[in-house]
Amino acid sequence: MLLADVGSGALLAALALSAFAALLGFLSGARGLVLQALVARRALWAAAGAVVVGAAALEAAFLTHDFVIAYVAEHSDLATPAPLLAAGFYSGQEGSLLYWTLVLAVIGGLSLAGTSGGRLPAYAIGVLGSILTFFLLVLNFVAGPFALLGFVPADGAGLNPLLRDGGMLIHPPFLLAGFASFAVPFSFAMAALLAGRADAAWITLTRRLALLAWGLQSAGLTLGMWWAYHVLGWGGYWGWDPVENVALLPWLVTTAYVHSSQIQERRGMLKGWNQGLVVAAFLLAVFGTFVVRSGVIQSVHSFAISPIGPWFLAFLAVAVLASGLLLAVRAPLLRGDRSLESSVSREGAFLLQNLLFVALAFAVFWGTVLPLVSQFIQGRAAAVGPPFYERVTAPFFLALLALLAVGPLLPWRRAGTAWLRTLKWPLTAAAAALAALLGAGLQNPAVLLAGPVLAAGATTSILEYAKGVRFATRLPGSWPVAAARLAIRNRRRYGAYLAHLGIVVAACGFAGSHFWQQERQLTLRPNQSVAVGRYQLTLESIGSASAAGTTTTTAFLSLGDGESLTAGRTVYDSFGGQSTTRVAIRSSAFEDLYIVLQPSTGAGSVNLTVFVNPLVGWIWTGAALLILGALSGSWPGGRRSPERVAAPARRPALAGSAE
Amino acid sequence: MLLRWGAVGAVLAACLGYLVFSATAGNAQYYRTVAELKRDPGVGEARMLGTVQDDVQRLDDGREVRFSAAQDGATIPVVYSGQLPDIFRPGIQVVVEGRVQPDGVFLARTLLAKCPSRFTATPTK
Repeated sequence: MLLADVGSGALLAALALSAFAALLGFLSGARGLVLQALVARRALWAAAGAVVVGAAALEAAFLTHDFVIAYVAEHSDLATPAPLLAAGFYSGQEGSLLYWTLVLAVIGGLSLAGTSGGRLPAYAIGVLGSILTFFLLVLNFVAGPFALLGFVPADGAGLNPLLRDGGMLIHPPFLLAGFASFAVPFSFAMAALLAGRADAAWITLTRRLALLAWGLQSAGLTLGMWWAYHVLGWGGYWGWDPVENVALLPWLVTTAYVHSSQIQERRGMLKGWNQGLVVAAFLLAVFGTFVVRSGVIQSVHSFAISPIGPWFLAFLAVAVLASGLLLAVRAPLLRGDRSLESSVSREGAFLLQNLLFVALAFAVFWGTVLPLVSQFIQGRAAAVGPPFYERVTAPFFLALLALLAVGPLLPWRRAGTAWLRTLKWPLTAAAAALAALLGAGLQNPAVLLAGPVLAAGATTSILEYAKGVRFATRLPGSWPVAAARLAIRNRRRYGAYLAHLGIVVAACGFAGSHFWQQERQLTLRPNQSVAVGRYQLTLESIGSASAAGTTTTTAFLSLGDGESLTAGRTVYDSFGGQSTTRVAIRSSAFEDLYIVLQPSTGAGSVNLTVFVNPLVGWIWTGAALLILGALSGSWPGGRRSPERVAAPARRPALAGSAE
Repeated sequence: MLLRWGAVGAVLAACLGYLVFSATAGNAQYYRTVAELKRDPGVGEARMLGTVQDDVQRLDDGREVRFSAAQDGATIPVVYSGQLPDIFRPGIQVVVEGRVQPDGVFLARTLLAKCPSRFTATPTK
């Protein structure tokens, strides 16, 4: 009872504080009031503090089995182990919303820490406060996590078996945090428009946080794939389901933004475009939440269909109208300081990359909303599956990988012809890869195209490190120390190339598992042996065990080299006979042997689905490199902002830094 | 310069448009209701949403499954062989893709289970 009171009280206080912060933020932005802006910032911080208290109360309620709170009783029971108990917090709708609000409040609060009392930060407080107010309204009046049951049940209902996994501890928090953190760059972009400042100040203020949001979303997507692969037992990791797509959309748009924002920082161009990308990323994140929570699009993952759908639709409509109107009104301010000098330049490469990513985002968006569009136009819902996405996105992904091999070699402003000589290394690597693939007897044109492009991309990324090392050898002192110092000082640059390398490695994994996955259905009796690929698979024995409400069947398997594997299936009585698999996976550097125990009706034998998945491990390695790169690029300190490229401005900069 | 980038954008948009259009035309499947399929099975592939009834039968050592799918009072027999999702059981909703055979049985090529509408067991309330 006490925890519920503390929690709901804290959320109510947070609502009042954030609404106050929003109003005062807008007011002090409009009137240029410095003192009031500082008060508004304090109010926003206080709101963040209250949200933290509310979240802590819910977490404490889970850990102490406070089953009088309906949400706790529905998502945990006495037998739930402590780590999963803690994860119960965000396993349902109300808790996920509270978690989202928590991330928004904390990251939003942090983003204001370094700002002074100018008009831009004041407006940013206004926008951030408004978003926070919306979420707190929903939490207080529509989907409250602290709703009470009329009685105290002896035990809770427990977490769904599918969620009883280590992946539950990491995948949802990262994905939800990524979604929530797109609001921060959006708020600053809106604030810049409101304040009439067209320079890169808002980008500088939020650069690190935008990269952090992008890194969080990358981690969330990867962990989602990892979870699907290790837990769900269908042998794949990405199914182009609407719920997956809406998480990918803001990532695609933000990937474009982390590149094009550099053009604005260095060259003062693409101002409106950057605003548009940041706004689009946030709107897509809200759209994603609406789709996921409202059930308007049929998905394999249907979460609780709930009354919050219309609220999010209304919020989305307001956000679209407000940001669209603001962009239109401020359009004259958003003209570039100068125009592109030459298409063959770093700027040109970034621009092409942006167009490709936006095209990708559009294709994924189209496939996702097709059921709605066709329902509207034809009166009947049509849907597309993975073949659609593979066909449409593959050429764009390939073009982007080719750009990854060439773009980083291009100088800023105007390339001339000197840079063409640097192409010799990636071209050599591409030729070598092509020869190797042909030598191996491969004839699939897609493979013969992708292989060389990936080799060139890897070479270009590694080349940047080689250049750094060569430069370091000329510095005084021992060169490894000098190289490390160089890498740390220019962590933004080297982080970016690490992320590029990660993309190439992960792309090898996607290609390998897409082109060469093998699948076989087997029925085995004990001591029976079958050759699958290069493995000699033997069923040693079948085990069966029953424990509190569950029955587990286990197949004990051995491979020719003496290694043993176990594949299991557990049936839960309390969840209507729902079952979970424990996939047996033997990973090596170049392939995974992946064995799923299927339900069986025959006694004395087991049905197995055996996959050989080439290069899947490369996806996780590549993603780890990518996230490491994003982290090092967003780490505080280092070189503060890239040197602006000196060039005579054709038009004087419109907005000075004077405020 | 603006003209050149406009042209690049237009070419990209045209490629995208062609790919999206052809892939949509080639891959789109209409959701059909159970009642519709019973009345007019059609010739092509269809995608259907239905609730799994209690008559689930597993044949061929559990590799093939037969059940009735119901939607708005109409039911149709479905047969599917292949990997079943973990959460497959009577009472859940499934999306099946396939075609209706002459004997009126829906032969499913793919079967997707919708996750339980709430990630919870029977409510304690």
